[in-house]
Amino acid sequence: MPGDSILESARYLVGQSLDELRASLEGLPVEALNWNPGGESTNSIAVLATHTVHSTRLWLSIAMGVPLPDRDRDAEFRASADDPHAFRRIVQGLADHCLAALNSADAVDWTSMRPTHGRGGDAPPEVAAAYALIHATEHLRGHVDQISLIRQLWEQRSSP
Amino acid sequence: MLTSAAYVLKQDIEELRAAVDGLPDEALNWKPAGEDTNSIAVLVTHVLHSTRSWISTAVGAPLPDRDRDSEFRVAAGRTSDLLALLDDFGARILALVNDAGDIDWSANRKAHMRPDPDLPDYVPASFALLHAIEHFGQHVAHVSLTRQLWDARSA
Repeated sequence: MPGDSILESARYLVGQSLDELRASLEGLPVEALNWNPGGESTNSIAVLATHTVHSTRLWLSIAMGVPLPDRDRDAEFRASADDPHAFRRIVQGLADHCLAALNSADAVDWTSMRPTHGRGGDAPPEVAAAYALIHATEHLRGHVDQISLIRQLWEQRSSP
Repeated sequence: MLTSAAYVLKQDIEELRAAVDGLPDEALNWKPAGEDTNSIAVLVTHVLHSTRSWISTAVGAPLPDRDRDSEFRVAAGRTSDLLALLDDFGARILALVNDAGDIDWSANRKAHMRPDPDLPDYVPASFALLHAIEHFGQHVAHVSLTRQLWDARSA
């Protein structure tokens, strides 16, 4: 594997997760996108998809040392879909930004310390580029799997 | 890279433990959407064996014995037994990362048998590390959601 092996592997794995996210959203009606599978204590697919693409874009930007995008984390958890096609377009646009961030350099010093977005609490104001990349990758994968499971639950609930 | 990997894995192990701790025994083998979905017992057993194997590949340690298919047939008896397994494997996984020396992340290493025969037997160390952690995160999230669904069903 030529170049930065860590970066190449991250591009592959993040690309796979984003492909799976797109597939999990495909064809779902607005009712499915906004459905809470376990009542108010669980998040809808619309919330999880919105949150994960915003979060991934931010953490990959931190990892790659590119300008950090604006983000309103609380608003992500209030997201709902009005039009499934428009919702999928928004998610895809943010997914494209994630891949663009990963493609913004050919190599990265993974020991570099990078400023974060002011997470509050005890969270450190800067993290290693390596941490940002690993966190982005595993956080995305986790929510994509949750979305896939919620879709399964929705389809089971909807089947005769 | 290894310092960050150890930090994230430690967090994930703690999150997985918290998602299992306090569950009644009958919740461990419950499948949230029937036979198409996996129980918490299966998910925990699978992710622990898988992560130990992938981290071994990443750091160039000998591959542990593994029977992947049997991980998906597991039925748990008691929550305390599953937590003991989690503590044991969690410590082994973190030791593999913490005891590793310098790694050539571009080195190709043998992986355990893959579920899809078209997938390569040898992968870069970088892929093994990132895949181990993202796969762990995937199943932690899956177990957490399954627990939320169990709790909602039981409420």
